[in-house]
Amino acid sequence: MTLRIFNIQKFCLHDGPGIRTTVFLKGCPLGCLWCHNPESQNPEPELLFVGDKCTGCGLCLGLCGARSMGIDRTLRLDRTKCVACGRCEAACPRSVNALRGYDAETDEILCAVARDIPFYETSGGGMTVSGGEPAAQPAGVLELIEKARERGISCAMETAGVGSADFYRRAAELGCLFLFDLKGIDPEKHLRNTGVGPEKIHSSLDMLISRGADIVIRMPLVPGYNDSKEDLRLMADFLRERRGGFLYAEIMPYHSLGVEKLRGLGREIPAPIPDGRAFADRWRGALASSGAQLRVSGT
Amino acid sequence: MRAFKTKLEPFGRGWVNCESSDRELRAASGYLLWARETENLKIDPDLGLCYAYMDGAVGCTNYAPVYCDSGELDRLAAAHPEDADDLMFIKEQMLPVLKHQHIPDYFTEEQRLHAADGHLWGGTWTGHSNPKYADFALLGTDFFRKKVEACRLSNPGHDPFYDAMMTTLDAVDVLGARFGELARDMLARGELTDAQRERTQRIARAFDHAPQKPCRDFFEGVVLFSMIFTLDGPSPDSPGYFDQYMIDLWRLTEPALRRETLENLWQFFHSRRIWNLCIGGSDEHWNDRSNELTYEILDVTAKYAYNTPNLTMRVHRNTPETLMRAAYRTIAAGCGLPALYNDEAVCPALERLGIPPCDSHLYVMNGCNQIDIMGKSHMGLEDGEVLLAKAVELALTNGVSVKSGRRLGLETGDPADFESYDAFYAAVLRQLDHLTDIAASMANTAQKIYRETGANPLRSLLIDGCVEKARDYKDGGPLYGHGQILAEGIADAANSLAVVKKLVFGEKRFTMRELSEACAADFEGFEAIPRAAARADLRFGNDSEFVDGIAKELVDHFNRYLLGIQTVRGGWYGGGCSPFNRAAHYGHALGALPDGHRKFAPLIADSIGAVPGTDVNGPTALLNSCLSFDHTLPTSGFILNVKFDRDLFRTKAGEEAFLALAKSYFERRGQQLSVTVVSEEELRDAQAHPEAHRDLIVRVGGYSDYFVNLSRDLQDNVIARTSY
Repeated sequence: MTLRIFNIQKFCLHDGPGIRTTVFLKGCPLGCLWCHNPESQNPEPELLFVGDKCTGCGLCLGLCGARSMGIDRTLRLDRTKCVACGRCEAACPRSVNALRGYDAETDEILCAVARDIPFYETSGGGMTVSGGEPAAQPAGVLELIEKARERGISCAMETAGVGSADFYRRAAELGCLFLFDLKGIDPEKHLRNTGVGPEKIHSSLDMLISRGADIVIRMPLVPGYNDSKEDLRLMADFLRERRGGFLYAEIMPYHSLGVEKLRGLGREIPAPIPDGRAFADRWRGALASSGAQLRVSGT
Repeated sequence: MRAFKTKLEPFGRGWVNCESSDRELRAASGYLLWARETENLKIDPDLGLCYAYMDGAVGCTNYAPVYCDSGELDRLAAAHPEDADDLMFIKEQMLPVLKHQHIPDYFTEEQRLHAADGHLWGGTWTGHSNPKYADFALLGTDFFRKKVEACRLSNPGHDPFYDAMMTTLDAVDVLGARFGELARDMLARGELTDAQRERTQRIARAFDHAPQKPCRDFFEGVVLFSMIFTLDGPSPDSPGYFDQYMIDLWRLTEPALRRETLENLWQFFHSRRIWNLCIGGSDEHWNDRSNELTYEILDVTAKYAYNTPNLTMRVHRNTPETLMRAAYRTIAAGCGLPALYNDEAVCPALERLGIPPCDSHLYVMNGCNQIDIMGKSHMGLEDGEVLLAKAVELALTNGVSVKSGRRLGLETGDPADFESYDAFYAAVLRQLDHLTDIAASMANTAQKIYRETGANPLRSLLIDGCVEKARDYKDGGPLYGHGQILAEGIADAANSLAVVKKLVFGEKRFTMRELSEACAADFEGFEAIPRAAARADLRFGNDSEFVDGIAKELVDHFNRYLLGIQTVRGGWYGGGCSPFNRAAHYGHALGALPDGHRKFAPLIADSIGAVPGTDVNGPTALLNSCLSFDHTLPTSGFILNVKFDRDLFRTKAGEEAFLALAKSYFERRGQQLSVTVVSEEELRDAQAHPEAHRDLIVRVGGYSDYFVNLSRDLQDNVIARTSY
C-alpha cells in the first residue's frame, strides 16, 4: 500500500522518546491558522519555492514542462500552471525549488526507517508517524505501523484526533504512543481556528484513555488565538478531569518558522503572531491548577 | 673553539666536548653539563612546580628534524636573528659530527615530484612516543641505576650506551639537588606569601629524597613530573595514560591538596602546549580502568576549557554510564574534548600488528591521534599520508597529475577504454597502491636518517626495551615500532567511484570518454555531469548502501595493504584517517573529479565522514555510513568528526540522544568519535568579527584549535561540515 508523504526525517528528538525517524504524511483535514508545516496541509504534491535563495540562473526554465516559470531577476512561478512534476527540483543547484509530496510504498518507508534500528535500541526511540494527519490515510498508516512492529520498532503517532474510532482502536492495540494535539476547548473558537469542531477530537481522546493507551497531550498555544484566560481555564479543567489518563501534557509555544514556508508555497501570509516562547512561563502557571505533569517543548 | 654566550651554552659544550663516537653518550654529557650549569631553573611558587627552559637545546639531537638540516637551520637563523647564534652553533659544531645534511636530498626525484604536487608525503617528522615521564617520580633514579647495571651485565659490549644512561641519571639527580637548593634559598629570602611558602616548603621536602627515591604523594609526583617533562626538550611528548599511573600517588595525598595540584598541573600543561592525555579504558580482560582521577580530569577539562592538552577518553563494553555522562558534560562545556576512542576497535587493530592484548590495552594517543603503546613504542608521527581521491584522478588521466602535468602515476590505460566498472576500479587500486608505496618509502628513507642522527638517552630510559637492548628509542629500542600512513579524501574518492559505477556503467548517462573530458575541462561545457552527480544516493555519508559499499572496499583495501609494509623501526605500517588541518590544502592538489569536485577547489572530505555539505540525512545516517568500514583494520586513529549545534547540548533530550548515538556507534565497533559543539551563526560571526570570538574552539580532525586562527579555507570547511 502506498502513503502520500513529504519527508522522512531522521534523528528527530522531539517527536516522542529517544532518537526517532519521523514520517511526515501529506494532507490534513484541519486548517489551523498558525500551522507551522503548511506544506503538509494540501494532499496534492506542490512546489515549495524559496525565492530569496534564487540567483536567477535559469537552469530550471528549460526543464519546466508546464511553462510555469519565467525569470525577472529571480524566478517567477505561475502556480496556476505548475503541475508539480519536480523536474526543476533536480535542476536547481541551490535547492531553491523543492517538490513536496510523493507516494511511497510502506515497505519502502519501512526500509528507510529500519536503517536506524541500532539507534532506537540505544535511545529507546522508534518511528513517529506525523502529519499532515495520519488519520487521513488510515489503512496505509496502520499497515506501516504493523510492519514496523514486526521489525520490533516502537511507534508513535502525532494526531489531531479527527480519525475514526476504529483507526485509533487498532493503533492502540498495536502499542502506538499517541502524541495527541489539543488545540482548544471552546467549540466555536476551535472551529474558527482550525476549521473543525472539537467534539470528535475530545471523544477520540476519551476513547483512547478508556482503553489505557499511552498518550501525551500536546497543546500548541498561539498568542491571540487560543491562549486567553478563559481558554487556559477551560484547558486546565479539561486536563484535570482526565488526570492520570495520559503521561504528561506538553505546551508547544508558537514559533514563526512556518511563515517562510507559506511564502514559499505562494500562500497568503497571516498577520504576524508574536513568538510564543515569551509566554511559556505564564501559560504553564495558568495550567498548573490542572494538577497534570506539564512540560514545555524545546527545553 | 668559539665563545658560547647563548642559553645553549652548557648543553652544546657538553655535547661537543664529549669526544666519544657514541651519540647517546654525547647527548647525555650535554644533559649533565646543562643540568650543572644552566641558569634557566625556575620554581613557580604559585603553581608549586619546577621547570627549566630548554629552548632549542635538546631539539637539535632529539625531536624536530629541522635541526638536523643545514638548509633549514639557515632559514630559521634568518627568520629568528635572536636565535641565530644557537642555530649556527648547531650547524657548525654539531652537524659535522652527525655527518648529516639536507634531508630532501635523500629523496629520489620521483618521491620529490610526488611531494611537490602535494597529494602525498612521507617522513617529515621524526615521530612520537609516550615516554613514562612519571617513572622517575614513581620509581626513583636509584631503581633506574639498578636496572641499567643489570642490563649492562646481561647485554655486554655496550658500555658507552650504558654509560650514557648513567650519566643521564646523574643529570636528573643534579637537577633535583639544584631545585632543592633553589627552594631552600627562596624560603630563606622570605619574600613569599603564606601559600607560596607552604608550596615551596613542600617542594624543598620533595627533593630531600627525590629523585633518587620514589615520591610520596601526588604533589611531589607532579613536581617531579614537570621537572622531567621540561628536561625532555622544547617539545616534550604526550603524558599518556595519566589517570592510571598517577592514581596511587593521588590516593596517598591529603584530599584538600589533590584538586589544587591537578589544576596547577593543568595550567602548566596548557602553557607548554602539551599534546595528549589519555584516561579511562579497559584492561585485557575488559575490566573498566576508570577511577576517581578520571572524573577529576574530566571536570578540570570542562572548567578550564583549554584546547590543550588534547584529552582522549577510552570507552569499551564496560564503561560505566556515569563516566559517559561525565564525559558528555565536558564535551557539552564546549571545548570539543574529550575525543572518544573505542577499545573494542583499537585493541583488535593493534593486535593485527602483533601487539598482545596485555599491551594493546595500554594504548594511548600521542600528538593528535597517533595510537601508541604507553611507554613501549615509538612510532612515526604521521609517517606519511596519501590522498585517496588522487588515485581516481590518475586513473582518469592515464597517470598524469593535473597539478603539474607530469606523469606521476602508473600508465593504467586510456580512460575511454575501460569497459566495465571493475576494470576502472582495478586501475584506481593500482594507482593507489603505487602512491602508498611511495609514501611508505619516503617515510622509511627519512626515518633511517633520524635513526642515525638523533639520540635521546632520557627517552630511552623511559621507554621499555631501549635499556634492555642498548638501543636508542629511535633506533629500534622500543618494544614496538609500528608506523602510520593516513588516508585523506576518502569520501571524495568514494563519491567519484559511485558516479562512475552508477552513471557511466549503470544508467549509461554518459561515457567514460565524456567523463574524463569533462574532468579535464573542469566541467566547463559539461555542467550536466556535476548536476547528475549531486544525488544523495551517490554521496557517502547518507546511509546509502551503494556508495558506502564502494567506500568500504576502497578504504579496507588501503588499510589492509599497509599492514604488509614494514617500518624501519621493526614494525608494520597501519592505516588511519586523521585530517588535521590539511583537508583544505589537499583540495588544492586535486584536479576535477567525477563527483563534481572542481579543479583545485579547497573542500575535501572531513575525516572519515562526508564531503562537507553533502550529507543531508543527519547524524544517524552519517554514523551508519561510517560503520560500513572495518574499524578493526586502521591502527592509527580512524577519526570521525561530528559537529553538533550548541542547542543540542542545552536540552535533556539532546544529552540522551548524544549518549545513545555514541553508544550505538561504539557497540558497532566505531573506532573514534569527536564532537564540535558550535552554532553556525557563531562561526559566521567569528569570521566577520574574529576579535569577539577568540575563545571559540573547534576540532580540526585530530586536534582542537582556535577558530580564528584557522585559514579562511579551513574556516569555510568547518562551517560547511554539516551542522545538525
